[in-house]
Amino acid sequence: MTVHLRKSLLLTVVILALILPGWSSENRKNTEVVARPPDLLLEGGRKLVYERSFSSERDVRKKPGFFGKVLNVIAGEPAYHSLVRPYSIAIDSRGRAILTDPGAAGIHIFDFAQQKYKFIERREKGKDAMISPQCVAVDAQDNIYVTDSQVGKIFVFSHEGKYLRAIGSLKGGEGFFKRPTGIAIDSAAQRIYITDTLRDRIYVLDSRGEVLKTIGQRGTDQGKFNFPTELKLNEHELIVVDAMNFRVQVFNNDGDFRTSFGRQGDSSGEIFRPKAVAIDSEGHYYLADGLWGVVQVFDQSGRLLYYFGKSGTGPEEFQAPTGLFITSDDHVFVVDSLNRRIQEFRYFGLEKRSAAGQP
Amino acid sequence: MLGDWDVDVKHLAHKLGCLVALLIALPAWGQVGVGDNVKLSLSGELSTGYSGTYSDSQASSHSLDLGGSGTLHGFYYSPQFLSFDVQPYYNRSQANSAFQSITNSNGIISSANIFGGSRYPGSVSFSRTSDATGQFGLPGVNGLDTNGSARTFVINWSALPTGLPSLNVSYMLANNDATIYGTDSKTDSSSRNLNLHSNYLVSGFQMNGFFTAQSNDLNVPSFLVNDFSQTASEVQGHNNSLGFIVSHQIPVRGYWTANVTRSSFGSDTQSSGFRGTGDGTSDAYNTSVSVQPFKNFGASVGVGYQDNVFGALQQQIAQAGGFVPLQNSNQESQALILRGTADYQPFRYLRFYGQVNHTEEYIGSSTLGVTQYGGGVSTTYAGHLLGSLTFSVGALDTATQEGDTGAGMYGNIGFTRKFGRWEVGADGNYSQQVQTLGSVYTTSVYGYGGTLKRKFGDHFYWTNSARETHSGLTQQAGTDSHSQSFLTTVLFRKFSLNAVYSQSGGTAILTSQGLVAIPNGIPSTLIPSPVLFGASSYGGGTSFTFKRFSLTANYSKALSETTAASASNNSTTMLNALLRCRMRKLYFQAGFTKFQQSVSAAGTQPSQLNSYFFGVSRWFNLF
Repeated sequence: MTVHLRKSLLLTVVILALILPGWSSENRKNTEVVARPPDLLLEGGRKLVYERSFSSERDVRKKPGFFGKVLNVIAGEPAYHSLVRPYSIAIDSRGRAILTDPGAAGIHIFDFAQQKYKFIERREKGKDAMISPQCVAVDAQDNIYVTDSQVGKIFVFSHEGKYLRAIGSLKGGEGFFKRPTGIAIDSAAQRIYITDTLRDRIYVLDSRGEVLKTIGQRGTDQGKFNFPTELKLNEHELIVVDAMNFRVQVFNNDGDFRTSFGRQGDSSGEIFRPKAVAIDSEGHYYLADGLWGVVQVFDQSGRLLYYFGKSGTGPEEFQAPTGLFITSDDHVFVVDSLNRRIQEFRYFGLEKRSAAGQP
Repeated sequence: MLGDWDVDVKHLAHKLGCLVALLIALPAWGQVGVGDNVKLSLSGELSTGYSGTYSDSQASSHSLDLGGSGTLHGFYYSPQFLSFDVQPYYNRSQANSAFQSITNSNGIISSANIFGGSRYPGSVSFSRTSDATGQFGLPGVNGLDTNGSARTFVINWSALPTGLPSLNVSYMLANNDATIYGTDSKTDSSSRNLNLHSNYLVSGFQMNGFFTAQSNDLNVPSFLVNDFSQTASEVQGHNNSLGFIVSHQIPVRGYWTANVTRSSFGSDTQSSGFRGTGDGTSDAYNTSVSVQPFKNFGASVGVGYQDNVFGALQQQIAQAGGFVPLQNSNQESQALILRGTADYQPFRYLRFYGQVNHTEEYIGSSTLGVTQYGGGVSTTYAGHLLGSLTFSVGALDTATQEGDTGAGMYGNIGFTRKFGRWEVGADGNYSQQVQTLGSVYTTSVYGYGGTLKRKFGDHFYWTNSARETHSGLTQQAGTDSHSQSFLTTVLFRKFSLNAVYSQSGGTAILTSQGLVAIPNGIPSTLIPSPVLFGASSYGGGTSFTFKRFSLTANYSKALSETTAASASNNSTTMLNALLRCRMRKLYFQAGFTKFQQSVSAAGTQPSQLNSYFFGVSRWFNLF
């Protein structure tokens, strides 16, 4: 055997040694199969269909071609960002899923249409560092508004993820809000609604961040709050999760109380740890319960229509669902926080079925 | 030459074969699984590249190398029932990895835990390394670098039954052998340690018993041995302790405690033309009562008896790792000690205390009675004006039957305060004419240090620290030890820079880990052959990360003088740098080490070892 041949043999063995581990791990990851849960058939021919779940940058990226696979084997897959402890979700007009992740101290943007992903963070930005992003909303220009419950500010980013400004940043770096959590944007009226949980009130700001008025105060009466958290804006009504009063309150745009529903309890139709609220095209309220791992659906009068999910790790199972978002075409996104993923469902109501036939 | 190449290739091919077989076998095992109860995870790094060594004193060499490290973690049934870790590594050095070895080292680190969280937990660990860089220590500065191997085996087990005495057992077996660079003499040591501990609470009596046994065999380098010939010497020593402690609450918010301890020690030191042995036992009996009749007032009295005062000091030497028998270790010496203390705290931040000690000592045929009395005040303050401040000061006066022998004083201070973006901390301690060894010797000790931190903007941090310590006998000049150190660090985003300077000197004893400063309170005059040393070292380092690139570089130089049988001037210089570029799980890296060490008393050429590496490594996470 020549010296050259021996050296080549050694090199081959080395390359094989490098490739084998990568090959084995890639193969295994691709063979994971998850059973799809059955559709949830509802009264009047409505139904809720489980569509998919996603949890990392890998889910949105384009599948690698031949050379990409070769590169993956040799150099390993890229270090994909994964959800750590996602909390809230918003879908912008481009169909992008924007997620706050206090565990990663950042914001994930999943763009499935463009097969792109972006992670926004501001950890080392001095007095305007983002530490614990909580809830997220987008305006008509797809600017991203994020509450930071720890630093007491609202961070605003452009749709590209570029930092624009911080609302509530006082001189010296402190935040104006004590614990901002829920946020909603009324682009037409140029208003920003922010829940300050520790102050038991909702701040209404103009587009520059100036306080126009506040809604509510501490209490248990109608229109008063006991640690309000999430809020959503639906056309002309403001829906607020009044967490420790175990109810959901509905106001009009000006902050006048309209209605509320829910009572404390641990059975169907009752509320124990309300986390997030959303409303579908038929005006049904979806309320996520963080402890029981279910999403309950109520009608306008507060009557329980149905619920879906249970505590667990499989499809259509949740562990601490903390965020909800429903698009105009009734795609229901549930932030499954402790399972580190987002589960997407599709609700098929009566009007869509009659208009478009079978889905 | 071709024959040598064949041997080399066969040797390398054998290693490669083992490694590849391991790589293939482990994933297969993990994927197949051993029943449902075994869970395994394996990760690691493989590297290959071109490396070489060169120096002025030996022929250069270069080759294509393969190396790597891995971590296999697993458990059976549950992590608490049986868990284990195995971490093998091969051809790892500071030129190709984070391993701090000049040469390519190989080895394995493993451990297993069983019944964790239960009443009968146990653990076993084993580690082995070869061709690795170590240090023969010098007090206060960088020591002399060594090359050698080490094996350590440790086993621990506890029984914690409810309502019955508990038992903790640990046993450690360690072997090391190394050659100090720049010399041709070897040092090797073997040590065995057994520790037993038990405690039991019955009828309000808290009882503790312990037994420790330690034995060492040590061959030390000749140039560091005093009074011996120029050949390496061999030391064997053992050190055992058996003790029992009992305590119980008494009225008036009081506490009674008593303990009995028997210690035995022995050493056998030999080299050509010399042999010295020493052994003995030391028994100690102590009891004390403390009460707190009022919330802000407490008092205690105690009595103790020591049947071998010099033996107790010998025990301290042994615990520090030394073996050399004290000059007076065979001299008969007993001590009876009476103690009384009281403390009064009139305000939250202010405390007064006083003490009286009387010692009757019998050394040889002479008797000595010593009475000490003194008091002090201490305060602890935390507020906006002064930041955090702790302060105490006290004085002691000592008298014997021959009259007053002088006053001593002691004090401590600690301080931290923020001034804008500056953060300042300082501390100090001072003890003058503190009695050691009963009343035969007094010593003075002082030390002080400080830290200074500054934040510039949002990303720039500057940290400094300095410390100085002095210790020595008051009665005899030239017996002190001292050390100084300074450190400054600059951190800006992902760039860091640090510089360090250390300086030390004094008297030391020889241990298996190198030279160790004589423990405080032990007069160096009692040590028959202390090693005198003076040393200084300085160095600096930087690390820089930019996107996928990272660079670390360090430089250090240490100069020392040791005086034992012969005087030796020692010098160690080390420069190393590692550049890495990451692409996914691949790292392209290049490393460089320049090392030189000389020991003048060894009579050999200075050791030079320059090495370089450039290649690629891949991190993997198999399962």
